[in-house]
Amino acid sequence: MSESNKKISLISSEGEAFEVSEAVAREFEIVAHMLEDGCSGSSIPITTVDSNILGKVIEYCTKHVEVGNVEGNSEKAEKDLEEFDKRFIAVEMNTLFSLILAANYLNVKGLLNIGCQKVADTIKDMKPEEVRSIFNIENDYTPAEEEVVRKENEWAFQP
Amino acid sequence: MSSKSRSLAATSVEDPPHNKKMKQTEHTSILILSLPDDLLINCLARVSRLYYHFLSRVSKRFRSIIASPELYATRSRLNRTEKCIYLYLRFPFDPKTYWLTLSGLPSRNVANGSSGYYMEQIPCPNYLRPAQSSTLVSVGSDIYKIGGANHLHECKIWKRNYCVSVSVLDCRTHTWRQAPSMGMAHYVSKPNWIEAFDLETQTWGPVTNPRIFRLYEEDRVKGFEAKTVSLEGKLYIFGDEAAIGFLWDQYLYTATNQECRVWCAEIALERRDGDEMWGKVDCTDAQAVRDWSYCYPDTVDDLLIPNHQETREEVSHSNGKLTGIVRLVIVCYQPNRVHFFWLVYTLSLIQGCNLYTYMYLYVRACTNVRWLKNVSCDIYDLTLLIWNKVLMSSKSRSSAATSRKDPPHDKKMPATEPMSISFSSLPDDLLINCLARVSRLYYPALSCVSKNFRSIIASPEIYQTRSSLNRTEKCIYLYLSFCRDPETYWFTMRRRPSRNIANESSGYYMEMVPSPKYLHPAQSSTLVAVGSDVYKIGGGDHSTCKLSKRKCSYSFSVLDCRTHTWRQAPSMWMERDSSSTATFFDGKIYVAGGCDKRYVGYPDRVEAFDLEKQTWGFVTNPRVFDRYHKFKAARECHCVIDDVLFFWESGAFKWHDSKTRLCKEVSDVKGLPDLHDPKFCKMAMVDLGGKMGLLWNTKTSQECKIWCAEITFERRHGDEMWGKVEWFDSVLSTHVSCSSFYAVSASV
Repeated sequence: MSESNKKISLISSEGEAFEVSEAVAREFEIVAHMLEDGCSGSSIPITTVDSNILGKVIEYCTKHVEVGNVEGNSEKAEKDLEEFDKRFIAVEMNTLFSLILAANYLNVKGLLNIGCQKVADTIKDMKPEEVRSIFNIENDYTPAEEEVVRKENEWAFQP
Repeated sequence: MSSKSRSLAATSVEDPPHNKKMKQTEHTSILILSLPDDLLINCLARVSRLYYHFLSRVSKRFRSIIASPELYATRSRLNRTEKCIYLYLRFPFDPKTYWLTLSGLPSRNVANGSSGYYMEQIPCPNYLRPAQSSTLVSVGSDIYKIGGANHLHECKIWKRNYCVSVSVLDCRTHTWRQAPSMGMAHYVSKPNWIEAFDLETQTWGPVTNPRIFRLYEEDRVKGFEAKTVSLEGKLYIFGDEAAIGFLWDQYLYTATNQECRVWCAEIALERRDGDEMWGKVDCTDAQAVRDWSYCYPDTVDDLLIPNHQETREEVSHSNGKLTGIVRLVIVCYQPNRVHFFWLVYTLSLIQGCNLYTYMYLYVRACTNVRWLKNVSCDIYDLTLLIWNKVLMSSKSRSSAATSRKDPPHDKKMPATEPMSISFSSLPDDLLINCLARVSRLYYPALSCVSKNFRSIIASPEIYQTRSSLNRTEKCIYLYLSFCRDPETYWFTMRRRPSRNIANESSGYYMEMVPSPKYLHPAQSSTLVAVGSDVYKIGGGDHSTCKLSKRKCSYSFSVLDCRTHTWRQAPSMWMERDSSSTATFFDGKIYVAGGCDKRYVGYPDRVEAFDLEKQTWGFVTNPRVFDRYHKFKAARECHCVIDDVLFFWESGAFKWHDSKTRLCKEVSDVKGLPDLHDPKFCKMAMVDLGGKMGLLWNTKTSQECKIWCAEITFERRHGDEMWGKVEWFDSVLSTHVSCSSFYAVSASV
């Protein structure tokens, strides 16, 4: 594509500009729609995402665009990409949620996917108390309610 | 009795204004509805609560007002609270509790002969435990349900006949809540151990100097101890060792002046032909209630156990004069002799309300429920009745409500650490996206995390997301039936978070799925799963012990495994029993066999249910069943995994590939216990999405265990099949009378 060299700058909530190629910017579906709608200005403000997170999202998209452009050798590339995703998403919870929110807003499907999967993997096999503390969830059950929920459908016979 | 006259008086007073009001609304309906809420509440608060049930049908606004707490606040402010009767029924073989409250029919609906009173059922959650025989005490508008048998009927769970649970029914909203548990789980060596529950601080504590009971002595309660009383904002429970164990004589209304007597009968038991037990009443005697504690031997437990064997069988017994008895205790302290104690009240109030039809016996038979269940199964088809009056005013209630909030509030505070962004701040659709990727085995644990988690996990959206993400899993559903028990018991497999798992356990367990009482036929149906629905087809209508003739039915019901709700589907054309076979193929459920002998001319008559049109039709050329004919012997235990039929035949796993027409034994399945052992009663196989779930049960003299194994299969060299057991463990323990189980896997 001839346009792939065109640069677009994305402005974070702090006003910092990130210059990316259009192909990378198009990974953000929200940006892709803007471009198609004719907002062809060279800078696009992303007001809800801060610099740190926007940088990470761009890093993710850049990598995926790069790998997508490489022809052949697809099996190895895919494996690499998986590795990259794994490393990329191994962040602390705060960042993870910010990434998920940003991916949702910018409509980056792949990132949303791995983000949600990461959360699911973390939740799996956890006691409720652990889930609460890991995700910083307020326990809005009263102890009594919690007991009721816990006992729900419990089979009585426990020798 | 005073309560009687009061309630009758209340109606006669209430009726005329009620009529008046009806007329008013007819003419000036706009005015009533245009009243602001507070005025409307002020009006409705003055209406007798007996009619609230009908009033709430008037309009949505009425309904919401009648359900509102403001209405009851107004009632107490206006000093318009009334005493309402609450009833709590229990049925043999039914683990549920049934709560009712007295309501009145609007007077125009009342036929001449009837008083217009009736019992209205109030919701009682399925999970309300302990289900049975708890002590009741009312404080203001709350009914406290204290201790009691822990669950289900005695036939199954004989060990858990006392517990520390305390739950509260708010009679204004008819909602239940759990209160802090008592401090005493079992009995305590100290006699007359007393605990008191402080309604303000919501805590239990022992009472050292129980002077409070003087009051009742002075009131001439005559020794028949009131086991719970409320006084000065505290709720007291007391009793001796035996009473704490099962709390049998806590009737508060004995404190009123109703007469009550204890009767005693001695019944000689004779065993004939080895398996029949005959009873003969030798003598009957009445004793004053005062002597109750003396005629009840303290060491009943010890005396009972030696006779346990002798009284194991059913007792044929008839005594037509048992009406009016509220409470019966069976004691056995001589070989071959049973003592029945029962209690007779003059129940003027209840009879005045036309309730006497509800008067049944209540067998609580001593401390030893094992003994009771065996003796009492048939002689006493009995129902427990406990009633209680509730004072609809509560000054202690409001203060209790505020103080109750405090402890959880304290707890919450440290939990919320400052954090810029948290999981909870994700919008619901993202949360759903995350949770949908977690295995469904963990959903019960997850719904304990927070209310939002709980509502997400109960939502249909999460299951839509699961299917759109292609994350559905095969979940095992299990269905148990017990001899002599008409109920159905459904379970689904879950897993405990792994850190809770003790080393030897796999963490898998079976969780009960609610199954409505009316779900018939109860037993031995054919099951087939289509997507997330499990279809239950035909089968015996009830416990075969009772209705041996009704083994077939037209019934067709569906369990939605996502929401765990049941619905009825159109009935079949033919009655079928449990020997029918069913399969899902090409959008239709095919059912064959299991028909009555009448249709002997039409062997394997086949019907098909079109899921799209939701209709049944006969199949004239049932080629779909071909492969089952070939493996008839394997029909009991087989499953299809990735187009390969696996079955258990003559002590071995076999497999059949319909494409290559190969039928061979599975080369090796390592790690399974010896399934040839006679203690293995039944096996079932289900598809777990490429893997096999193998279920079987074992029986010992005390319990029946259901085991589950997950087996993966690997095909080598095209014609060899190797199996590997990933894990196996017992997933459910139940009573030994478990007669059969059926397993099916649904993709959810």
